[in-house]
Amino acid sequence: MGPTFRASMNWLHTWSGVVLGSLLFAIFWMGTLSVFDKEIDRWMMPASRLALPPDFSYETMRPAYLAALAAKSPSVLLLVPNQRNPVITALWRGPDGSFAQHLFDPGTGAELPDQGTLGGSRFIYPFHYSLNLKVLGLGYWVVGLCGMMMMVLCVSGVVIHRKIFVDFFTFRPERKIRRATLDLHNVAGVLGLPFHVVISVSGLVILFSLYFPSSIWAVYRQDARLFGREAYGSYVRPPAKRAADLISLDAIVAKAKSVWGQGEPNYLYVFNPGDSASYVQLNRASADVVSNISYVAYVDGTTGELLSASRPEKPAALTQRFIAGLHFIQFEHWTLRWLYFVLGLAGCVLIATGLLFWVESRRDRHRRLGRSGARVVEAVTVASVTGILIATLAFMVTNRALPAGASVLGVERGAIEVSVFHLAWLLTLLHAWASTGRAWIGQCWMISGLASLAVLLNAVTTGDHLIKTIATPQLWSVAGVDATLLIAAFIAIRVALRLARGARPDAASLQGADQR
Amino acid sequence: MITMALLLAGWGLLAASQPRQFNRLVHHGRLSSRARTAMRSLGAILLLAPLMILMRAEGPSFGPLVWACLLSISAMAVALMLAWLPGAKSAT
Repeated sequence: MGPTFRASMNWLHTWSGVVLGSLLFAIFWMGTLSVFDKEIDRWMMPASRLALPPDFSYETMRPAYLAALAAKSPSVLLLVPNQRNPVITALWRGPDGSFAQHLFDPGTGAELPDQGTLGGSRFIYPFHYSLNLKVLGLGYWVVGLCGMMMMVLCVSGVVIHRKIFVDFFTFRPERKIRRATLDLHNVAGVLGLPFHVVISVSGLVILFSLYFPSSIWAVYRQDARLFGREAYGSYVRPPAKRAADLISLDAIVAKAKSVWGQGEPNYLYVFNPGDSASYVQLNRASADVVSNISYVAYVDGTTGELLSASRPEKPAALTQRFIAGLHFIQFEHWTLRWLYFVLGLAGCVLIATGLLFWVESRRDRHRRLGRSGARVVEAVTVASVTGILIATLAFMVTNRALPAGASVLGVERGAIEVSVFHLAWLLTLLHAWASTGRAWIGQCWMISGLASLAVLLNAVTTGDHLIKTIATPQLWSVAGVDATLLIAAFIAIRVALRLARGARPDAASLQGADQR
Repeated sequence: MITMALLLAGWGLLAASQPRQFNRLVHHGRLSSRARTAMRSLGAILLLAPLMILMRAEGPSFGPLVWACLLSISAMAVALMLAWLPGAKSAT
């Protein structure tokens, strides 16, 4: 391994990191939050903070089905309530062709008032894999490119790291910021390397049909449905255009369970509702295994006959589902959920410190030479690191501050929240550009302020303050979000104080360690 | 909890067996090569033991996953603890 190879890897690492670092941070940050998307949903949709009834009957989902039937939707997806998502969620296409999500009480089946928010699972989670860029599916491709580059960065990072084992545990916060940043970058990168690699690879594998369409196209030509039938065992039939009632949902579930032997469905997908050719797709919940395997059964909606059940999947599909399962963590395992969250945060630290190191090692030189590069990158870095945190917090604060059913200039509540997110993000960029050098400190104070405000607003508007939520098991998701917000506020204050000390010209970097 | 403590101890021993970290922890101490080998092998055992415990407690599919995640996190925790250890000399 000659010096030229390492030098070229260094160049690759530096420049792909600077160019894509901001995007990568956004993806990692949103992915980290998506680990707790359902919990964020509970926090942002107070009416859905319900207890799961001990003896849930699938017939409770009938009002949701009837509502979709009344809306003349060609199909309706009914999500079975579970511990993390204790409401019946129904998705159907309205008369105007737009998708709508409706929530129903798991005990009574009554529809809950519209919560007017996209919440965690419809804003934060899609942001993670598509950046919410819907034009030409561009977001997916950008995220895919970032996933590829993350792997490039991991490999080149290992190559250019001179002393992996000697520096294995080396973190020297008392040194100058530039040195401490590089230490932290190395520690987060080397010690978290398995996670960073696995999460990038599995992210790409999940969307393989999008990134490698040619492999499916080459075998199945235009018939993508045939691929779905063969790989995942899906079933389709057209409506018969004769009206008929859907039989008991409990009977349909019982039929599917007779095939699976054990386990409950996690969704019921009713096709052709109200038609004599209606059929229901049921998927077994895979909460007890790592693999995101689907055991799908199709049951006739009028006769209750089993139409089709998926055979065990082919090895390649099984492998893909295992890797996808590693990434999705839809299984019921709270320890792992928190571990993924912490490792995701480590990924955020890795990317942020990488960007910061680039800026720190060039700032003075660029200022001397009259170049604007470091200043531009610094502003973008501030906006993409603390900025997206502020934007997310502003999103949550807006959610609690707006009254239910609010609208401004014809813009609905959910859309206002999203606009506030983007506006806040833009403002952090302007702020970062205007106040170079001190932008970090200001934005850290902003983060702690907004996080505390979010906890306060939640307590005021819903009455679910931290003491009450900790005491009530069904509100633990809310307690978790609140507690995390408070910890974030605390850390932001510490960082702001430390940076303010570091910003003073002398002695700060020498005393740093002793005062902690 | 137990597994986390074992992992922390394991990484801690491995870290302390490095001359640079050892010099910070034990002022003017000398680390003999035998002590270093002993610390390293004990550290490695302490890192592997939790895998066995987790395999039993969580099963063959979740066990290794939890172990791999904890391995990373505990190593980071050790690095942070070493950084802010009271009374330790600054690393060079």
